[in-house]
Amino acid sequence: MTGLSRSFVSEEEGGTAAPLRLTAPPAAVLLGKVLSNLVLLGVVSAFVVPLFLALMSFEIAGVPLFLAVLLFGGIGLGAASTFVAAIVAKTAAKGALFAVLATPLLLPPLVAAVTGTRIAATDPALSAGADVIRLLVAYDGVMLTAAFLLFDAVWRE
Amino acid sequence: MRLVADRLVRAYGPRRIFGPLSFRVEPGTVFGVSGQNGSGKTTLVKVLTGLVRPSSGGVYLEPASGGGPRTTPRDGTGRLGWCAPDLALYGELTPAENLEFFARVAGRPVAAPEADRRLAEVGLDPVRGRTVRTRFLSTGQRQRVKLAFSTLLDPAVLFLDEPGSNLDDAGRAVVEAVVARQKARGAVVLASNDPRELALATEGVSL
Repeated sequence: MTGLSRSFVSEEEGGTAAPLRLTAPPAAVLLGKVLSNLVLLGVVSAFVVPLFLALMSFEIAGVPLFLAVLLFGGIGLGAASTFVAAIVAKTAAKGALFAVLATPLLLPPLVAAVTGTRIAATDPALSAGADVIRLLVAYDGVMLTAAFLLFDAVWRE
Repeated sequence: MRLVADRLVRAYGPRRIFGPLSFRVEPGTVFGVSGQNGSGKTTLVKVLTGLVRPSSGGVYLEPASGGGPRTTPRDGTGRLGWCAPDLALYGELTPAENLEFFARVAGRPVAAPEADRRLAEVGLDPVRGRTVRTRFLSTGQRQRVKLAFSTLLDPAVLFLDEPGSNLDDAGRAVVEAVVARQKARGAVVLASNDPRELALATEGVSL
């Protein structure tokens, strides 16, 4: 999460945000940041998830459901974190403000992902977690749409 | 394109930085902005580029021939060039990679020879421009890269804020050449305290 919050801060602090504002369409900037954060999340997950499963002796009965929860949960986490990072990038108390703004936004996908993981631990059927997946997909859709609609104002102010 | 400033004011809280200012910058002209340190030259340039919102008034771009829609600097990207002390490019990229990156994100990619030519125009060795990361260049060489960036997209209006800072005499000649090339393409707004740079201006405002 700390890494995700840095995505726009590094541009503002490094002075590269201004040339980006002059040359790149805002949507392209947001898309690039979301994709880079998703890649970062994916790489971290590729190491942390197997390690967690091994160390905690945590067995997954429904691997497809678990992977779907990881995928859609990660997209929601990445999209929401990136957008909040853009909002706090120009503020003085970036770290504290990021936590305050991100926590309520990230609670729904986190709760859904925990629920989905619990179901995947005991039930091998993908359909058992269909409601959770639907919720995560809806959250991802809403968050990405809101981010792209609002980013122009956030980026240029 | 013609740049129009209409009753432009910028204030931070109760402190007015400048304004109200109204002027027009026609293509082929150099508009000078002079003033003491802290007089608001850099802020004015940032307001004109759309990087900072004015407290009141507006900045517009309109076709010099008349007719056509009037737009603001925030309505699009790639039409304005900017070189200023605040500008920073990616230190981990080489100068050529920086130019290629910003051209690509603007949707107007440049080929490698074109990026090399742009660097050569500002007096940078293209081989060095492809092999040395920007953060390892001297401040004068970085200033030259900034000048190359500012004209990369052939802007309608070029904003130069203290363009000669950290440059030697050869570098100052590069600034004059950049201004001359831009005059053939569009307008220039030049903010400076240096009389030699301000001598390039054909009209202007003192803050």
